[in-house]
Amino acid sequence: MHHYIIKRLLWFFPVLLVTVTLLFFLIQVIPGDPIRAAFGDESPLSEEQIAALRVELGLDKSIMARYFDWLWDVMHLELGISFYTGSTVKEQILARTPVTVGLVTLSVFTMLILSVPCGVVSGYYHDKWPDWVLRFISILLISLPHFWIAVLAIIVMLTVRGYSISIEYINIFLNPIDAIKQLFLPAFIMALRPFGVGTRMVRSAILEIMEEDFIRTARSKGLVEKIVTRRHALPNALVPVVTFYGLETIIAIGAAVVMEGIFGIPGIGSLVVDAARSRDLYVLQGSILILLLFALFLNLIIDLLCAKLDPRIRYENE
Amino acid sequence: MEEILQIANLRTYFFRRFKPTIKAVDGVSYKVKKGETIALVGESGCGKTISALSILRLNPPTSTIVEGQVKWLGHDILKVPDEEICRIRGKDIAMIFQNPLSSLNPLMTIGRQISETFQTHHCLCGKDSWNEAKRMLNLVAVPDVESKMTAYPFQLSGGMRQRVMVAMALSCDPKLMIADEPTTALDVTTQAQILSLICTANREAGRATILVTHDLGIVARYADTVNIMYAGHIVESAGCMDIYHTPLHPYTEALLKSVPRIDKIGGNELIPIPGYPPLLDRLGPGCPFEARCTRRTTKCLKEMPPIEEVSENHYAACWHI
Ligand SMILES: Nc1ncnc2c1ncn2[C@@H]1O[C@H](COP(=O)(O)OP(=O)(O)O)[C@@H](O)[C@H]1O
Ligand SMILES: [Mg+2]
Repeated sequence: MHHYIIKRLLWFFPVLLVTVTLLFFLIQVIPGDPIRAAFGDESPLSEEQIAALRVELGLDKSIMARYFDWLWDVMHLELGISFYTGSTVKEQILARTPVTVGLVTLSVFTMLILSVPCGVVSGYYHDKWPDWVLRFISILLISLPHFWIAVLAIIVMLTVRGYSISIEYINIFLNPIDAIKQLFLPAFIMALRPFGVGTRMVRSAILEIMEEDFIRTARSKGLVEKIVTRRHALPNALVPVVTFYGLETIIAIGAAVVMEGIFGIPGIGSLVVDAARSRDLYVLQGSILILLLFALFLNLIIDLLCAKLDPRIRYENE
Repeated sequence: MEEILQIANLRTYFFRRFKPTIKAVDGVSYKVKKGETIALVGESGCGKTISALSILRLNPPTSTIVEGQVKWLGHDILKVPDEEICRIRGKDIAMIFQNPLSSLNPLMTIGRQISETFQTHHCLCGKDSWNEAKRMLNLVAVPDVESKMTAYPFQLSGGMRQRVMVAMALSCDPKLMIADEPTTALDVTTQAQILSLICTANREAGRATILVTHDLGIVARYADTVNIMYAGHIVESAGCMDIYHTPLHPYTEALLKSVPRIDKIGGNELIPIPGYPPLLDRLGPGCPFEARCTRRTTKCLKEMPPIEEVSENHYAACWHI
């Protein structure tokens, strides 16, 4: 196992470097001058003041020089400052990370709680009525876009219940119960599509495993059905299922950006959206970087888990 | 000699929505005596595997055993409750399958997979069952047992995997072993080793064997009794010598002509059987071999011939014997 862990960790760094590089150059492609965008056309600053600001923010250097500055800064966990608020990007990210982490965790938790039992039921009763009902619901949930459901949900809440989105965000560490209540609706809506896909995925994983030859062997040895399922079927079904939910968690990070925008939740996602709108260059870079780091880290966790579960991955090329 | 297994009129069908039913096993009957080696021979797709699996109710969940009796020491296996059949599987009747790689759990070490059988049937604790498993691997001549115990199936060669399967099947010293084409997936040199391992072990222990195969060479060497299967039916059943020297059914005759014989001086001319086996979901009321048969008449098309004792212990199902 530790051979694999070392190999996988050594891979992490080149991938990280490529990601950071790609991010930097993609951000440079975004049109519009950040300083003009910050002050508008009727800028109170004179040309000299703007030029001085450029020098101060390091925008006058060549693109390669800025790239190496960026690498250097990232290595030292320095992400620059915001053109608007003047606070450091690191501060803003640290303040907003718990919100997004809370939203994504809640959503992943919801999808797991819903889809695993539904998938098991669907597989167990395959081609009987519970399976038909669950498959219909799954297809429905997969085909409805979540931003549309989100807008619909807000309208319904407003007209029927008189609920309005709270502007003030409740800190998840200080007041977890109220925070979860606030995050629940967006988290639930984010979980709907993966709920549909997950139900189908768990269903087919179960059905496929039960047809495998080694399940027949286990039965032929005289094992009772409970042990066949627990000892032989479930561990084998787990590898594809873990991979699936790991990837869904990464996708949920993307979905969180949209949801935070719609529900006005002050997480990393809305930070990205606001920064992109106002060309707040360093904030944009920093906040996307943190989302990418989450994704890379999750990928690492998925790979290590799968290796732990499956010796064929653990011992490959040995 | 004492009969331990009696299979009577076994029928296993695949019922399908909007499609005709596949009659994979359609009225199979035979008996297995103590210590006897029975060969079940036929072309691929004729229902050998499904009929062998049905004996232990291991047939695929999409299929149904619609009729028949499988009497094991007087009890009908098809009727006993689930807990009871778990005590028969692996302990009284063990099975070996065609593809040893897919038949072993990829996530479990060889040692754990073998000791599992001891834990289930002999209530042995982890350490004792582990030692028993080691003893079994030694018995089937696996080299370097210690390291094989902690290896995973994908780390072993095909022959070694099948030895592991044999060790697993022999664990509880069963009275009957069902081997479903145990060497088909292996290369030729390994085939001979595995087969002699299985058959010698069973002969020495006085254990009965149902050997499923499509290889008549294997049959000649190891079987006492031969059942020839065609399209879900047993069409001929006799002692090994009778099958080779006085085949009665036209299918058996054609089958023997299509393989090289070492008992004929100067060899024999190989004649393939014309046509293909029928599809098991479009069988008519007549004899399934009718379309490929040289003796066919209109009667063959209309009515399925019953299997009858033609001479002593020699059964065949044909209107023209
Ligand atoms: N899982 C399955 N689903 C549908 N039909 C099957 C299945 N397994 C076997 N059959 C049908 O049953 C017939 C007998 O199969 P089998 O017993 O595996 O043949 P063989 O003699 O080669 O072992 C085949 O012709 C096939 O059409
Ligand atoms: Mg077969």
